[in-house]
Amino acid sequence: MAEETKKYLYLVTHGTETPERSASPFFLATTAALMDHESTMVFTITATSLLKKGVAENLYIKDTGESSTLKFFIDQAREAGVRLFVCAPSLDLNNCTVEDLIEVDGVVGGTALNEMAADADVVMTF
Amino acid sequence: MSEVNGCLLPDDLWYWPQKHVWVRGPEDDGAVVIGITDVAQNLAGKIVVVNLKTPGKVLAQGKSAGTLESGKWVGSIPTPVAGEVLAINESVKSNPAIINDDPYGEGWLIRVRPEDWAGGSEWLVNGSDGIEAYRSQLDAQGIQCQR
Repeated sequence: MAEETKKYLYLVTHGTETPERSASPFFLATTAALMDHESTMVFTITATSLLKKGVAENLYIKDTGESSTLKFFIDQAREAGVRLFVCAPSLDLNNCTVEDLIEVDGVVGGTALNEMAADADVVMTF
Repeated sequence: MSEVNGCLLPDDLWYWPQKHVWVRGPEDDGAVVIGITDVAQNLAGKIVVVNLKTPGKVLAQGKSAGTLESGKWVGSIPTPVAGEVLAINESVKSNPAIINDDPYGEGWLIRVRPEDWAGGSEWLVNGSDGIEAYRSQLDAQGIQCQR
C-alpha cells in the first residue's frame, strides 16, 4: 500500500483580535505537512492581520503566564513546507497591501478559493 | 555506548545524523527497527503525542514515518530506509514519555522491511566512523544534550 498524499486546506478567518485562536491553524497545517501531505492555509476576513510585518513577533498566544508568540508557529509551518495564501479583498479590509505582509505564496480571489476548497480532500475553518 | 556532547549514542546502531534517527538491524528476517536518537528527544523536550504511519504502509526514504509533538513543537520522523511498515510501537502512542526515557529501547518507533537495505543504508553511518560523523554534525550545529 503506497503512501497517499492528500490536500489539506485551512481557512483562517480570525486575526489579531483573538490571539488565542491564532496558533492552532498553523500547528495543524504543520502536522499535515510533516506527514507529507500538501498543506495550504488561506487567510481571509481579519486573519490577514496576522501576516502583517511586525505582528507575529509581538502577538502572544496567551495573555497570562509563559506564552509563545505567533512567530514560532509561523516559522514552524514555513519550515515544514506549509503554503500561505491571502484573500485579495481582505487586504483592503485590513488596510494593507501585500507588501505590508510577511512573505506569502500568493493572493487569491473568491473564485480561486472556491476552487481550492473543491479540490482539497480536507477543509478546516478557523 | 558513546557519549558525544552529552548525548548518548549506542555503538551498534546505524544513524542518519542529519535527521537524528537510528536503525537497528537488519534482523534475521531482514527487518529493521527505527527510532529517534537521544539527541532528537533532547531537542524535542517532553514528547506528549506520537503519530505513526500504520502497518502495511510503504514508506519512501526520507519521507515521514510519523510526527512527534511536544507542546507547541511538532516534528517529523524521517524514514531512514524505504520499505513496508511491519509494526509500530503501540506503547509509545499511549505513553510518549517512553521515548524521552529510553529512546533506544522501549522507545523504539517502527519496524520496517527494507526494499533495498544495501542501497538504502548508503544514506546511513555506523560504527566508530558513524559516531564521529554524528559528532561532527552536533559540533557544526552547536548541539549539546542536557541531563
